[in-house]
Amino acid sequence: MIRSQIHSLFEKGRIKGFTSQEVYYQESKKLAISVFNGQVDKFTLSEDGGMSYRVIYHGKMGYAYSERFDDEAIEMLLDEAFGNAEVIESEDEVFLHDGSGTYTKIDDFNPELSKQPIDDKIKFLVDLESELKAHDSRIKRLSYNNYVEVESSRLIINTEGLDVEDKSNYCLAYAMPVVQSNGDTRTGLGYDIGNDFYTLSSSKIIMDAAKESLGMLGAEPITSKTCPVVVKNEAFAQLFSAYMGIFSADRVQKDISTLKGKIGQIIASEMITLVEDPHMSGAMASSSFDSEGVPTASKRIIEKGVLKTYLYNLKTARKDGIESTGNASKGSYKGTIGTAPSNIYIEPGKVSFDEMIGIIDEGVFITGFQGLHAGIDSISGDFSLQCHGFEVKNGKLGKPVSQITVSGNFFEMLKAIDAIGDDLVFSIMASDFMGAPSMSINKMAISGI
Amino acid sequence: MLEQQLVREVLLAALSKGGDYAEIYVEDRFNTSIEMIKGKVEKTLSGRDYGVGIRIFNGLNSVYTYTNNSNPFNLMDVAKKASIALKGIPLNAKIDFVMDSVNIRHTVKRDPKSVSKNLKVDLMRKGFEAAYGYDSRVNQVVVNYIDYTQNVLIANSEGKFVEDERTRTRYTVSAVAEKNGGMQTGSIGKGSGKGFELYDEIDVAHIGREAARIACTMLEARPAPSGKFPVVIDNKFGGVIFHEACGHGLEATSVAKGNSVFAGKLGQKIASDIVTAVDDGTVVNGWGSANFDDEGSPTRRNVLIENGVLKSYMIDKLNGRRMNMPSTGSARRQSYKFAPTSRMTNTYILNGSSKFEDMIQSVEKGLYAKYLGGGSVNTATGEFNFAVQEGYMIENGKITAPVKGATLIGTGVDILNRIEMVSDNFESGEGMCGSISGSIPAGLGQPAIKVSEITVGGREEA
Repeated sequence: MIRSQIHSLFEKGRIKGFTSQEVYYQESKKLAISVFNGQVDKFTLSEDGGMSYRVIYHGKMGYAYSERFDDEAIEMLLDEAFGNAEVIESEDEVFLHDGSGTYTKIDDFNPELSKQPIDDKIKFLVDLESELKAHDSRIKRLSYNNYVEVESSRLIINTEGLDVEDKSNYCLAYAMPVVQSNGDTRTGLGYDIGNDFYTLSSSKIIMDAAKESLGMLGAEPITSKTCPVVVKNEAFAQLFSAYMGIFSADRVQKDISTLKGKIGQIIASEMITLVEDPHMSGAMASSSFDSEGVPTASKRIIEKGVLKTYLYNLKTARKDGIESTGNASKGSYKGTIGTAPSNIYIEPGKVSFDEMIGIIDEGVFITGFQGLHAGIDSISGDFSLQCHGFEVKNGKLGKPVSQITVSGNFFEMLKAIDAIGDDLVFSIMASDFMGAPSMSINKMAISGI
Repeated sequence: MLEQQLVREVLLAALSKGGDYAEIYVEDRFNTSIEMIKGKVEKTLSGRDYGVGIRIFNGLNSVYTYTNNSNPFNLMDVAKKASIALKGIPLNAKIDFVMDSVNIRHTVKRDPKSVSKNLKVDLMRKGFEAAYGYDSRVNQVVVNYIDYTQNVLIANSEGKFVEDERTRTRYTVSAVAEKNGGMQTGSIGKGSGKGFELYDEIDVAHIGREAARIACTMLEARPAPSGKFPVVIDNKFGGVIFHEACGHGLEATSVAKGNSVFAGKLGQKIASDIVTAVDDGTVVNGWGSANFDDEGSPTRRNVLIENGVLKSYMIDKLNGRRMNMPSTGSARRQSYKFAPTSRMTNTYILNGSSKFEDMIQSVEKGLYAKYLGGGSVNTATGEFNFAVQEGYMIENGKITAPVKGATLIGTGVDILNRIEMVSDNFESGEGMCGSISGSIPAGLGQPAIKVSEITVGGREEA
């Protein structure tokens, strides 16, 4: 059905004078369940799809998209793509991928997931809620207790010979308890993710959520100081991921990345190696091709502190006279092409968490940041972020700390890393599917009272 | 958009296996966005969103489903499936639609769809030239333009049947200034519920110059101090402090289940006497305004806090059931892909009687936050944060050196009581707000306010 519509669109586009054309078609199915006080209080079931259309006309790329595919919508796509190409002034050379290259097969789709009974999924949440409440009397209620299941498929076809498609799915359960004691209220998050509902672990969710929320009870600010800081693995992944744009060749070429001209130079501690692996099994951002249909490949972006490459799509690679690194990205069919990594992580070190904390006389262990979308400047690298965690005193974790901020500069921080933990963990809370070990930084500014 | 007869049948199908309330939301939206980098149009995108969302209540429980296949057979099928998911008791419903008289408050004089892209590009070039020519240290300028027209049809089993059209336009300039390898940014934007006529009323060159001025000023800024200080937060986008510190905590989304520090506090004093705040979805052509909310209720001006006393929450129908309170016309959603919930529209602290100059003079050592960036809040604990884009030290009653990298943090309950002075220079600003029903345009605004003490997250020991 969709293929025949695409071919008829291409035929009309050819007559309109487009020299190359491409369709990116995406479909998704979603199930979301929320349980509150033992009852399903919200239940969402949906199916949707959309088409992104891009064309080359007089050497310029024009984009348009639609969620309808009737005749009127097809005319709109043709006219808008034409009109959008006409106003482009950028002189960068644009072209479409011809389908060449070696595609690594990714077999992560689980056809059983959507067949696993909804009643089991509801029961999981009902049990999760009651077990969490029973876990500790200070847990008063859950502000979130949700299950989400998403299945999505992509199809990219163009007039240059590209024809690729893939399908992926995942399920996610998460809970956020609200805990109270002596008039103090705290929250925490526990989640588990995978592509087989029956492997989701409610005990993991309960342990993580309870530990995070209860551990923060009684937290207070500390006095402002500059001191050693250990950043928890997941929190570090979130902070790093918020800066991911600096590796985009697009930003480098537009003079809005400090990494311009830094290939081959030291940009981080020599302990840091940053790896992108689009073919990792069981990871959330695996794929055999990027959003332009170019085959993906593993690479080291930083190797022992040295910047090895930027992330490229077709256009930015051509501008630098190299091949695309397979990092074209598209938020959805509604977006234009940008760049982003797939599964990305900082290689773990050999230092255990206890060893890392053990050598600090007086410092702070940060377990989470808030306001990452607002408190960072990806151009200057400066950040000032609300955070929480624990005091470190004489080599041991002490009292919980909140209502403090940590400030610094991302580029300076990467060079000031003292130790890298052995506890690599991926976070779904980061902007990318990013993994990091815990990091020890010799000096950061903490602001409190 | 859809025939009344089909809408009625879909609603009846949605109630066929149970449920006491059904609602349909049909959305047809046309978007245009253009990006100009260093004076050249780099990207343009336009497209059409179209979809239908169906929601059913059974007491406090709800089912939501959406599709972008509006074929009548598919809609009936989707509605029936949703009904089955609810597991309720079948109801013999009968629906008689009453068309709400359309009182279009937000008229659009110049539909942006009818304006050629070249005119939009010319407008962007003006902002670029003003920013790029401002100072030789400005080495990059990005100008973004968006507009959209969203048509919605909302009908429910109580007989409500309304249609509304929302037009939005937005223009943003980001400038990057560079000196000795260091780079700083400045961003200024203007958004509106007006059509293209907005640009007859505002000077986009001024937006460009302001963005460049901030970037250049920040090049000379030193790191902000650490610790607790009095802070004067200026008008316009300064309103983000109330949006984060209090606004989210007054949405039924968090109040209904008790996940807000402000739950159960109606009629109580939660802020200092000089604070009066409203959420007003009726502001003519406001960035967060509409004729009807996304459940089809007329929007209203809700007084949230009057002279420090909590007067009202912002309530949608579903959470209203849990709270035993009627809707306040506050239901909003990004698109048909989200079930609506209570959200802010245009949220303002109203003018007080202090003078801006007196506020500054009253501070011996503190911070003046001229332009704020974004922020976030945890409504259960009330802890919030937001970034200062352009800040200055106040020393001995005078605004002195610029400072960078200051995030302000606190808890809503504490900060509201520490608002010591409210000035008389109210102006509004526009932001995008993200929450469980998606990312939506949210208006905010205030006169300059003085907070007696707030934690400033800088790098320099004071």
